[in-house]
Amino acid sequence: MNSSYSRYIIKRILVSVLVIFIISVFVFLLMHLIPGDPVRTMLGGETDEAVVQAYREKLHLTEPLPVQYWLWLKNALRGDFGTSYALNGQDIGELLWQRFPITMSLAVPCILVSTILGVLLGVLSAIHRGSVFDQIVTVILTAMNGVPIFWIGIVFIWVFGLKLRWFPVMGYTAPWDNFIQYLRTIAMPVTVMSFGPLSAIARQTRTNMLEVISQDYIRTARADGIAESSIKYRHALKNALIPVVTIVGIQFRWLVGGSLFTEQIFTINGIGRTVMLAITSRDYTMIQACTFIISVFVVGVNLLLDILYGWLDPRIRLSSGKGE
Amino acid sequence: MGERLLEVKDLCTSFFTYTGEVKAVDHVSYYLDEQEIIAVVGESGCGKSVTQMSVMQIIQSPPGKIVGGEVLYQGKDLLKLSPAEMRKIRGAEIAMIFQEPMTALNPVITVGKQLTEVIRSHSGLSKKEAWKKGVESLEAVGIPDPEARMKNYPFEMSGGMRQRVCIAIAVACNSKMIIADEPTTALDVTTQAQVMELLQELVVKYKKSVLMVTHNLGLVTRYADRIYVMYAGQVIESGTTECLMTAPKHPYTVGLLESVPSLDDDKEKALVPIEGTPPNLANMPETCPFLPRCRYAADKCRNSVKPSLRLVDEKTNHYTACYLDLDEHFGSDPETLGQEAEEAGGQARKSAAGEAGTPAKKSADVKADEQTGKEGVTL
Ligand SMILES: Nc1ncnc2c1ncn2[C@@H]1O[C@H](COP(=O)(O)OP(=O)(O)OP(=O)(O)O)[C@@H](O)[C@H]1O
Ligand SMILES: [Mg+2]
Repeated sequence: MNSSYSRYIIKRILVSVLVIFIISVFVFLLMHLIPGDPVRTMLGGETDEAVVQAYREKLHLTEPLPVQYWLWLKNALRGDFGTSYALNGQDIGELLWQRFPITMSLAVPCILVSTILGVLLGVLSAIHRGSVFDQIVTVILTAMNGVPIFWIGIVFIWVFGLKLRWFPVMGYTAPWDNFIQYLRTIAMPVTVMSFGPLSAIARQTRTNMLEVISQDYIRTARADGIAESSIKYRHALKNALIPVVTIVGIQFRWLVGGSLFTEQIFTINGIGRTVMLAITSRDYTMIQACTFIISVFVVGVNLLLDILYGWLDPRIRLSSGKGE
Repeated sequence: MGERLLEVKDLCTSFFTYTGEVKAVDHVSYYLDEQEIIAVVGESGCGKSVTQMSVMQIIQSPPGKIVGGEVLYQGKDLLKLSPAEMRKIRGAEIAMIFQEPMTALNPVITVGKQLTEVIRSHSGLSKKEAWKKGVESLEAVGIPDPEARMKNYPFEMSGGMRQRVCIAIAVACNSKMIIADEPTTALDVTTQAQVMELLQELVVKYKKSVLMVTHNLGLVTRYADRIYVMYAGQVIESGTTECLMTAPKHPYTVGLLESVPSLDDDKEKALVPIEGTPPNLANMPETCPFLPRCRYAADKCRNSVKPSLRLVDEKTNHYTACYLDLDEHFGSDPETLGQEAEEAGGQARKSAAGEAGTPAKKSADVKADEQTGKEGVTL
């Protein structure tokens, strides 16, 4: 049983590595897929030909394509993505090393809160299906899912930031600098970002729970005289959570994409704002680096979810040994 | 036969849906003695399962509700127990196994954990003791290598094996009574026979009682002591297997027997399904519920309220809910059929009680039956 699970995990890791390799090829080719000369586009039309040529050589654009790729990948894996044109020659690797954790320090608490609250609300409203509680929760969740994130962000800033002055309206303090201040700065963005994930996770949990409760094995458990609490929180929940894993994964990835908005609204210099800056200033090396880092992150999250899946569902974990 | 174990009196269960009250179980009464095997038969949707689930009090509510009657288990009314007290009855005193072994066990919990959880919720045993007892019960239901099997998940087992696990749960807690709701319908013929032999062995060896719900008249004649025939939420005929097979009084029972292909299988008269459909349980007629489909319907039937059960023969415990005396109308077909049934029925029980080690012979029997098309008939 354990050997089969480790075989499953190894298999998933190998697949992830392969996927990252394929992504790296596409990210690299990004430079060459852009119509026209990327260096000219970056530097602007009137730049001196000698400067452009120097830049080309610096980016190894004069080498044959496979050599270019190899050089790029070798550096990328070391965390060296070159320097940023938009930020006056700042080292991109260093920059991302600073900014990616900032995005994570918002996304991780957000997904944790959404998952815990979402599962709790979903389970409770499924168990008390049709009750006043269930109806209120359903209405609130539907509303939360419907409002656009920038609108709710602005409302929050106005009410809790400007009127009530409970939380700072912009800026960010790292948790290792001042944890209390960190909590205060992330409170609003995390709340705003949680709306969508919380709603999706809660509704998915409720649906699964209701479906599972009507399954034959729950009837069997009742007929066997198993305590109702164990039926709900062990027998039913264990099955109901399996599809929730997928939703949590989707929402987590969505959060990183959503950071483009939230970081802009709350003026937080995470990866979202960096991507925004890179795009608006056509800093292709930085776009390349950001795309690669985010892709690797997504693959990593998927890998984690696959491992979690296997842990929750023995059918996935055990059938991998026998071939799919 | 021993003492009275279970007596159900005038049990009524309804589903309250937006189309009205569906009377799925309508004044059903039956009893089960110790070490007895009884069968409940009837068309799909006639309330067999809902009756059994009412006895266990596992009806989904809403929309279902037990609206009347008594369920006397060893003399005490289960319907008066608190939920906590009833939980101790389920699994420990009365166990229930279901039709679909493929879905009846939790897919993400190992067989051993499911088994030990049931054992531990009905006893003060430690985890280790419960595990040991679980292994023993798997062994008792004939699962090879039970230690290893405990660590398996249900999806790693075949249907027959899973049904054995369900039965093992029933054995593990020493329940006196097993309700088997179509325990073999989803299984192939050979496995069907094995599961039935196992249930019978439990009756003989562990002095349990079995109530089985089934569509398979072949199994009924072979294993059941008595039969209850249900129609539209009511018991419309009951009695010993022999008397119901040889001298059915209710036209519906006659129809059921005719729908079984006879042994000298002329193709023309292979299967005679009863024409028509049962009445809408949400809107039952005042008259006999079988009237619209009844071949023998007389004026009396059309002009009277529905007949209640009346005693036909005390010796065979034979009751029927029909105004007619069917002997007069009876054709030859059901009679010949009945005799075959008599030959097949009852004897298996006696030999099983007498000598051990006959299963091989009996599954051979079943195979022969299968060839002649008698076994595996569903209504
Ligand atoms: N949840 C429910 N809501 C409404 N009506 C129901 C519900 N469950 C069962 N019924 C009604 O109860 C009737 C009896 O159902 P039951 O499952 O007992 O039939 P059955 O005799 O066991 O049939 P089968 O042989 O197909 O298992 C059905 O006809 C159906 O109309
Ligand atoms: Mg049924």
